[in-house]
Amino acid sequence: MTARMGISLRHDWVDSLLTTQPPLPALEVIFEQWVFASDTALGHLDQLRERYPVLLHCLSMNIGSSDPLDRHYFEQVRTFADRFAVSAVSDHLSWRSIDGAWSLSLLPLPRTEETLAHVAGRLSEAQAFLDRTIALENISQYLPVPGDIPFVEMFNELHRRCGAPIHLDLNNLLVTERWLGESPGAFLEALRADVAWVHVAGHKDVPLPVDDHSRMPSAACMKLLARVPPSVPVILEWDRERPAFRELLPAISRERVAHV
Amino acid sequence: MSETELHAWQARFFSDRVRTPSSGADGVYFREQVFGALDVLSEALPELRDALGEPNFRFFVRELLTEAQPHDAFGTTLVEPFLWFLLTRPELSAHPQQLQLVRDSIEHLRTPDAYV
Repeated sequence: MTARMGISLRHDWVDSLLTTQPPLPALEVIFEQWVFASDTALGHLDQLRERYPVLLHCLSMNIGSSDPLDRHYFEQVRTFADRFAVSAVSDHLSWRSIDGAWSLSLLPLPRTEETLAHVAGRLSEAQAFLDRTIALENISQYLPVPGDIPFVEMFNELHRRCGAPIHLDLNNLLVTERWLGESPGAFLEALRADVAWVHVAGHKDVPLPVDDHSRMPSAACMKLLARVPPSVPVILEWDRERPAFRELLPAISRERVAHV
Repeated sequence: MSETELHAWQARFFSDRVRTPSSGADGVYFREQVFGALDVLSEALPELRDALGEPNFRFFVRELLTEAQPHDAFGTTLVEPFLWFLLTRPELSAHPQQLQLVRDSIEHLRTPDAYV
């Protein structure tokens, strides 16, 4: 059975994927998990790229930071994207460093016109350097930030100014709703930016949930997915409490049946 | 909010929310910082985690993240700064076996297939 969902590749799934070659629509590769990979591991990725379209997801472009863009990092991304002929590239509408100190989390940005101008300038520079559009993902937001521009309008406006599509993360919309009360439905209703691809995931249902990618997507997440056109690639993220690959594939196929 | 104000806001946010231990909702980014590093390092260095013991391992991860932010703290790139950080810690000076394991791990990172 062909799954509608592709998967975000993790190293411990590679051997099984190479052996079984299931009919997945796409693979997402996280740049930071491969940038220092051995030649052997990169050879495996070469083999997978021949079988599946590859979407490149980055974590450290640091588009919203006040620190200078790291040209060496972008050179590495460009080299990687060229080598693996990736179909699309994304990172996040967020920031991770200040004055050279780095956060493991993706941090939220003020929702102001000045922030938009700041991000648009850096995004245009980054896109020109990579010679590709960069989709920006909506992060999970846990705390209020300054500014009164609706979150969705940040993406609409960056699409208008820079041609950058959104990398739409449906679980992040649900987590943000729990913390800030912002409606995922209203976000999708107002979204005008093109959608590069979609993330689905699940999280532990605790009073203060974080986007831990520790479950299959919830029913609420799949309900949101039903509002996304079928032509948009969908990628499942799973990090903590990750199942073995042989258990993952039937689960993906079941989700497809439930969704269609 | 000008560029200067954005920089000041980000510096304050980082100091208050990422680097300062706190509980409840206010501590969410600090907890993510510590738990994220624990996930990465526990997976990459299981022998060292066992040799140090879980509580000590957690202590050193937390110390690393509050005292000496690694330049690039994601994925496997966190491993090397953590190992070098351990070598500087006085708590380990009386534990030659653990220190040797740290040195062996650093040496291992120099081999071609060290990273997956």
